[in-house]
Amino acid sequence: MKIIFLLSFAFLLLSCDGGLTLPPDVEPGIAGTMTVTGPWPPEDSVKTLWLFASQIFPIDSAKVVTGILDGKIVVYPSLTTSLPYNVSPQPFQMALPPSRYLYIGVLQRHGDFPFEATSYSVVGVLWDEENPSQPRTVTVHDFEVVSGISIQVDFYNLPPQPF
Amino acid sequence: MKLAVPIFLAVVLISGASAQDSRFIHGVVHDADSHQALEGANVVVRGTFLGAATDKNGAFRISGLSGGRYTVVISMVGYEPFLLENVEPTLPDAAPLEIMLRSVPIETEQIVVTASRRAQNAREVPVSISVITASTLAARNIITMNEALRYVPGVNMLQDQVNIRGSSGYSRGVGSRVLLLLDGLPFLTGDTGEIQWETLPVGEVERIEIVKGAGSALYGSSALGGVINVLTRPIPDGPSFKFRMFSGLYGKPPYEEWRWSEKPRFTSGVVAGYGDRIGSLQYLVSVGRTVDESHKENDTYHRWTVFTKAQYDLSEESRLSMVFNMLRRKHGNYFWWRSLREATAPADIQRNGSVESTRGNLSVGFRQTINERLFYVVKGMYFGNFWRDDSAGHVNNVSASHIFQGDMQVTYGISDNNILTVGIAGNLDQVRSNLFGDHKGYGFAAYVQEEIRLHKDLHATAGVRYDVQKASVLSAEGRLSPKLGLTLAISEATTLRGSLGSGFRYPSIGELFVSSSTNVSQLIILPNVNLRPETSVTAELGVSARVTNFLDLDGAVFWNEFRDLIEPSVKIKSIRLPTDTVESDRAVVEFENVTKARIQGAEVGVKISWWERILTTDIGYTVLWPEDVAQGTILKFRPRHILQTSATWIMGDLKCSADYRFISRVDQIDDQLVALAPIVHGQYRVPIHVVDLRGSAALRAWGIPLQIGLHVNNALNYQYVELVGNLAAPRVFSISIEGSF
Repeated sequence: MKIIFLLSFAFLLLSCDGGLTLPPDVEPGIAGTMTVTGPWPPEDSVKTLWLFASQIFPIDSAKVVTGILDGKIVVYPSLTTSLPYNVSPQPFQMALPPSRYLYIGVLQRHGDFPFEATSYSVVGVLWDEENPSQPRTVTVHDFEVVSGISIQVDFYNLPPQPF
Repeated sequence: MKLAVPIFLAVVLISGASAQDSRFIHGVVHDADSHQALEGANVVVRGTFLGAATDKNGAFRISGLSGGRYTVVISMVGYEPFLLENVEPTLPDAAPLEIMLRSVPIETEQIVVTASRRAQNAREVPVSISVITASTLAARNIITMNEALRYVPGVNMLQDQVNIRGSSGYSRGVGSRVLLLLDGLPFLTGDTGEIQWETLPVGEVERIEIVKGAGSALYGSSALGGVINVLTRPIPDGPSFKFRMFSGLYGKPPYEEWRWSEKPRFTSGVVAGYGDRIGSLQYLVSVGRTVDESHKENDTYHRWTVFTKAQYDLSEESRLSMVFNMLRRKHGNYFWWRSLREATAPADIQRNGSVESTRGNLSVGFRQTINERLFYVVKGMYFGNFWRDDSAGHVNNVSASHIFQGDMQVTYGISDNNILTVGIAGNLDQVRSNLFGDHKGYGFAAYVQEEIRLHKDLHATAGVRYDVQKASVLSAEGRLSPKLGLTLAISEATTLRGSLGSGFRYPSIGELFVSSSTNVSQLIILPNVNLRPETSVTAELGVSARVTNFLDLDGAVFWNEFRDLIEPSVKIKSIRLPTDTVESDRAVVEFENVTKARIQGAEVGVKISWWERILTTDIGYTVLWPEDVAQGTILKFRPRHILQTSATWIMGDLKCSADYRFISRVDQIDDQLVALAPIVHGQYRVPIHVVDLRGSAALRAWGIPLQIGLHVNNALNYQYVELVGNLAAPRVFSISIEGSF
């Protein structure tokens, strides 16, 4: 029985650190610039403009909704706020949970119905420089901001749409 | 309800007419070693429902017996049961029986009342049951009842929401899946169907019984994952003054960023009660005051409590009792942290919020023993809840809920091998609130249970209850809840048990009708009148064994199937608020029947006594497989492993104890809640390791009727969350003094 005591005590000592610690001052995420290369469309057709980073790719319209709700797709500035209209270039620093992001870009909502995929268009993508037909994968680690992200947006020359 | 009063009076009159000119069994119970009188020993006349507990002089008297010879069983926790055979009832002036109880190394022979709505030995019940005694509450310096449940095997708390064997997720307490009873009657709020732990009078509790698994076959709605029955203490037989006071100091958090106050933060309280007997009337009155400055900003509370209990012996066989219990509280409205970097500061929108509440109940009970094989109990309770929350003086939400409920139960021993329990229950609810609307609800239920001894070692229990409930304008819902249980004593020391139970929970008025755009977060809450009741089925196989006089084991495997679980769903929805001109996308919360779940698990309890009971150790371990069958994922907010251990060393009047709790890191939380509320750093969580230390000394050797206790809770100063965005208390040092005269 003494062995049980010793094992329990050893387990206690080994398993206990101090618990939760202060997170670093640096919020992990990505930082860079979004640039609109052509003219902006009429303001009433840009109902929302978001930067997005998705851990899922390829995606379809169903995965977009569940991805946003599950936190696998993060939008910036937030679900209820939009990037400002007619501001280019726009620097950004987007906080992200540490993970691999397979698809990063800019999403425009132009339609009236928020739950219909046809209301949305991807208007810019962060492309892989070595393989320009593929989105670039960005890995975000704890306590790290991946900087130098540059996303080009052309409202009148859209990239391939995921849905 | 109009019929209730005449029925009650008729029952009283009939029972009065049937009172018998009976004889008595009376005696005195002592400790065999010290010869001290033992207070609180249970004395039961076998084969009848007659029994008594000894008073502070160790004396008991049992009336209502007819002629013949009886077997009397005397039991008490920590003592070997004592059997007296061929006892003949006598007239009151005959010499009392002298009974000596021998102490045993392991605490056994716990009497429980919740599993079958009657007193029985805990080893005879077919379900897993745990008991917390008043002495444990005092030893751990328990201030609010939910703190005591953290030490019960298979139970974990999400701050103030109880979770028995994984039955509950997180819903801010709304719609409890564990039914709380106060002296056998449901004690959930009328608006949100939640447990308000602070309303329970900790200082006036005799014991808490925790029945694990579905229990709707006896208790109706909300007994989905288990039943907790809080039993208030008996009133002392003579003049008695009792008090308890404590004062504690929150330790410093480990990081400067979490030190929000320059002043030390205290928690302190006092409760004092006086009881006496005037003729056939016994009464007890106690008043308490507690102030907790908390380790978190805007989380302070101040509360007053009043508790009154009275009982009047109408005759030897009938007793009328009354309980009045009230709480008045003001509390900061802390929901979650601003961020983990500022983990003791509330989110900005909660910074100036507070809640004022007045809650209370008035209960009346009548028990009549018709004869040694037949008794009935009639109970009624009013439970009122009034609260309002405000921000910087601006009132946001108010709610007033009233519940009236009644229960009449008849228990009849058809023969020595067959006990029948039948009863009816009813409730009437009313809610008035800007948050939930104005609604009424009512319900009715009938239940029956039969306990049969199939063989001398094999007991079977079967029961069924039918409930009908109607909420506001919605149509009435009926629900049938059956149960079945078996116990088999395979030896004098080993009992096998098996049970199959069912549970359900009607959605609360809060879940059905809540509507708010002034929530503390940015979330809008929408009503959903299409909610269906949640249901559950529980199966359990267990064994309890006394391996030696120093080692007790208990083990169980269990399987729970849940359907239509109601969860708050957080999503983006295009809605138009009264202040809006057009629809816009908003983060909203709706309660929905979303989840079908299966929770399987196993539980082991080991109790060992060392060195003539100088040291006792207790270990409880539960492993869970909580599966969201609908999603094919792990259920949110459920841990996989729960371990509770404790060791107590007793040396005369000195007592030292240590507890250690481990709860594995919760695999899944609600990511949508974290993202949309939003709770910054809400995803941060760790396994829970908590060590509590305490020591106490009784000063009776010096002729002083006081006990002094020293407590260090969370001695390792471990930082953790039970609930997203809520840092648990750091190390707390406290001292307590209690006395009774």
